Amino acid sequence: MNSVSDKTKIITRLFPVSLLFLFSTFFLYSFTNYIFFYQEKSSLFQVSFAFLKQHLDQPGGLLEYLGKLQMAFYYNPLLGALVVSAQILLLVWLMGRIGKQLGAENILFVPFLAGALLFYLQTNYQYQAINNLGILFQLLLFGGLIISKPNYQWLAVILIPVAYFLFGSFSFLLLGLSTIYFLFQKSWLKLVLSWISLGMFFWIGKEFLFFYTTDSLLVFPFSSTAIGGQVILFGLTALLLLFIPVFAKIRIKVIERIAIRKIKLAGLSPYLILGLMIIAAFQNIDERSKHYFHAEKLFYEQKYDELIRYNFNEPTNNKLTLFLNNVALAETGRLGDSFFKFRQSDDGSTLFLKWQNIGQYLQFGGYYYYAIGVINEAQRWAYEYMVIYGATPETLKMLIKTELIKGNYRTAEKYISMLDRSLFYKDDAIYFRKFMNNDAAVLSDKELGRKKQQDTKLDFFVKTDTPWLNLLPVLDADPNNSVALQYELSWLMLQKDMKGIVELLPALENAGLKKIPKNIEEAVVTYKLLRVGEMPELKQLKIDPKTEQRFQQYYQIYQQNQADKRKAQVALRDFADTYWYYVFFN
Amino acid sequence: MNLLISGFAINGIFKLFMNLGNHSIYLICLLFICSCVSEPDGEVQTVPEAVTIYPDYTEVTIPINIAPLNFMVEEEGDAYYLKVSGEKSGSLAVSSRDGKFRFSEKKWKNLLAENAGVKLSYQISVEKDGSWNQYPSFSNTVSTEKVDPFLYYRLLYPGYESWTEISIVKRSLESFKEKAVIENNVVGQNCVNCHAFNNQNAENFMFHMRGNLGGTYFVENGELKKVNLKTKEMQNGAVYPRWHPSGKYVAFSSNKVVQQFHSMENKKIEVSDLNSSLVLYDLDKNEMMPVPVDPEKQFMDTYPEWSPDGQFLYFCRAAQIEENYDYRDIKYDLYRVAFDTEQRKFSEPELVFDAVAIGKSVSFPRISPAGNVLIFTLHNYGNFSIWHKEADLYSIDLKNLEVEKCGNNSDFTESYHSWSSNSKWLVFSSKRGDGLTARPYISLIDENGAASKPFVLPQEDPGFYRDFVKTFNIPEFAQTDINLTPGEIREAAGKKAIQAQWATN
Repeated sequence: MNSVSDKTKIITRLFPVSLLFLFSTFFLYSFTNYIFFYQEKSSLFQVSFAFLKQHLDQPGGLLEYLGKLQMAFYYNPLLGALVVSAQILLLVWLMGRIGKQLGAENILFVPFLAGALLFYLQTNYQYQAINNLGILFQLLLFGGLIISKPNYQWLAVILIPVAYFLFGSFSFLLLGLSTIYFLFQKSWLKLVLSWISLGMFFWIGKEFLFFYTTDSLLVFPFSSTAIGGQVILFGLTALLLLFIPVFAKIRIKVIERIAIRKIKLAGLSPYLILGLMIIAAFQNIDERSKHYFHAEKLFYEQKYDELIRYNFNEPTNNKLTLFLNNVALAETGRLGDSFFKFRQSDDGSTLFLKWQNIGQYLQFGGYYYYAIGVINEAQRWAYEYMVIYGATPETLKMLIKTELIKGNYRTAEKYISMLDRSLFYKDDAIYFRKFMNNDAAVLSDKELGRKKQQDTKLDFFVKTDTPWLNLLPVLDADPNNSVALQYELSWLMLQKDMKGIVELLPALENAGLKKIPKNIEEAVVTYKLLRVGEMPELKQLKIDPKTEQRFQQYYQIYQQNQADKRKAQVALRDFADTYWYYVFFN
Repeated sequence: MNLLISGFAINGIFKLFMNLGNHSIYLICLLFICSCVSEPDGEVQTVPEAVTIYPDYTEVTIPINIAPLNFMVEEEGDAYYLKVSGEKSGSLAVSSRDGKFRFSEKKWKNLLAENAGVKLSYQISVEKDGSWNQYPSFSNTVSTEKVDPFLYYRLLYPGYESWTEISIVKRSLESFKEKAVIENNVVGQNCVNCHAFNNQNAENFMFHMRGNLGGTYFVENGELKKVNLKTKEMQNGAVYPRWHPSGKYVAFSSNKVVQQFHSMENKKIEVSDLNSSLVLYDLDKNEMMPVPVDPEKQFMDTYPEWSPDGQFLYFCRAAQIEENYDYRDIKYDLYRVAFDTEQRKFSEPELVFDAVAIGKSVSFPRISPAGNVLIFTLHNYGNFSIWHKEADLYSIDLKNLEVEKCGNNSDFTESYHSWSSNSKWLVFSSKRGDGLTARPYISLIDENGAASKPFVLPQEDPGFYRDFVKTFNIPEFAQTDINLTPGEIREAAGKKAIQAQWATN
């Protein structure tokens, strides 16, 4: 074979490789950075020996540990994009090197295709770092194996069980690669002993060492969830990687002979793959997840105004986003004003989350209790989440805040220490440490102080299956709890319970409100003008005559179109953010 | 070889190390020298205030065979020095840069052996800004009484209703060795609970498992056996177990438990029974039978405990609750009933301690193997004392039934406790550390039931308890070792449970 010229090298290797890296970084950072947000918030890497030790009690634990380390860097999306892209690049290069070592003069197609597939898989927000890391380590080890002298290759017999302990099921890729390699080498004994050594280690581990189910020992840390359910695509990629030694031996002479000028067609295949990859990547942008995670990000950052604006400008049907939006409305005192500016579910599922052992429910359900001042329950949801899914930055922050509010400083310190051992939350740890053993500091803090004062003073058993029932005892204990009051009124609006709303007007007045919130006022006006019942006497709060006029207007249009509900709905579109519209059309 | 093991990437690191050659040895030596701390020299100033150490191991009585009491000094300093001197003979010195003192296990063991029955004196000096300050010394008393060599406990998150990782762990009390006996991950995260030994003997061992592989697991002749104790005649499953000293029977309470969550108080959870009764399992006959102490179903009976001679079954009893009950009104007294081992017959129950009369409630009665003292937990209401901050340990002298509050209590929960086989040591769960997580504390108990100042189970890392977020549940002393392999547990769990039969006598 002729040697590849420098120019050809640039066109067929360096340029497409650079293009892959640049596009991957640019795309992941610009279009799918929600992936990094989601993954970074899913776990908390801690720099401590105890944290490492926790991960060494089962095969593959180290890979999980390294995956969490990598995900910690996703704190900065650009860094995340660079790390992931560099990893893919390294994989492509490594495959090329392995191919070359195994006899292929210029193997380009397979590494690029595998790289492109790994990139595409990565555009799914659930595709975790362990996958590419796991593959990378196997290829590194396989590379080490094939460049070793034949006598040292005997160490594969030890290497594969060690790889199994460190990388779990990903080591089966190494086993497969070395099997094919030994087959080509006709090293039957090495092949057989590698399988026997892994089999024996697996059996000893299963029987005597590892307290895990057999299934888990076979599969961990791989999981369908951790690849975003892309089982077929991931399986194809794994097969592609597994047969690298075979591809390195295959030469399709017809294709090899086709050339444009001096560049062989096969050498241009990376461009074709890159082109297809770019098209597929743009097709794979998950707009719904993007919206959801952006809303979640704003929520965590407590940018409530921005969150409300965002949801208003880009309306969503996602109940979790609407739930977070309602918490933001409540925390900013606008739930009664803007409730129907957003889609609401009449079963209350946009207002409260019922207790369920589902990650996102546990993750967010407690924020309702935090908003209304049932701090114990807010803490419980965060704690349960931590028990099931492990510590995450945001659950830890919730645990710290609630423990500080409760004055349980020694427990708060444990969680603060966990944040302190993280890579990117040390500043938060420093911030929270200011409140340690200092009730006055807690009370004077804008958020913690308010919550401490708001924390319910009545002990009752929380009803998590019917979350709205917790509002009444909270209001019994503190009728001036305006957040709880807004939630109660919003729930009554969803129930179309005008009488209940009107009965709470004096409480609204006592809570210091100068004006009846818009949506609530609409309910009150309906009650008054339709003469549903007696109106309570109010000292300060007054019904705005404009609201009454708007109701008359609404009612008139409705009556004109009441024969055709669809037509009426269109005619009343300007009233879509009103209580009236909800009552008539929901 | 290194290239093979580590692949391309590690090769560079290996080369770097090789290039360093002898220099790396010097570097290591230098680091070692830098990390050493010399003993105080020059003028040493005496400080009148006592030094604060963590965990608090000051003025405690310790068993002669206990693992080193590693601790840390909570004073700012640049260097720390400790000299432990035996009243009879021997001493050992430890220095530290970070205030953490870790003793050599071998030297510690020798020092304790040389000073059995007398005191060890601890002298701490701290170097700050170039000068050494010496603090007043404190002491430990080395008891000649040994503690059982093993402590078993369940490690779990002090959570509410969810669980993932639960393990039953064996810890050597003579060293820092800890080993999992059972981990629930081996059976797909089924809940593992209520482990129990017969007289601190691990050969008679049992635990419950909840979930799809649920059942009660007994270790019989070193083999695991899975039994379904719930028969159709039983309203609820078997819950809290106690072995009869003969090893032939296990008494259980059979409870319908509810769990509710407080909105306000720091105790967080209320676990209470809606109804409960006592049942007896005959291991040889595989028979379940009622303990007929409440034929009219007027009471809720729970927490059985056998007297060491096996002639009495002690238990806690509350009036059966009505439909609209107030959980704060559920209060338990301590009762006992005579038992005829051969005939499997019970007599009429008798009141031992009337807690209701003083507005309190009893849980976890535990009698010393010597049979002279019973220690129980006393709290305001209910029976799930681990979530009751006010729960404290009390002792009853079984000769005259006089009750006294133990001297090892704190302002936080003191709950589940168990005796050593020689009746000298009591281990109990206490939440005094942070109010949330329970830790095993050990006290010496004298013939009259009086308890010494307790010390927390020593750990290799003195700061361990500050960071550890799991709780130590059901600490139980044991004289012998259990060695269940993951394979054995998996195999037993995979088998169909042997169904217990119902018998009326």
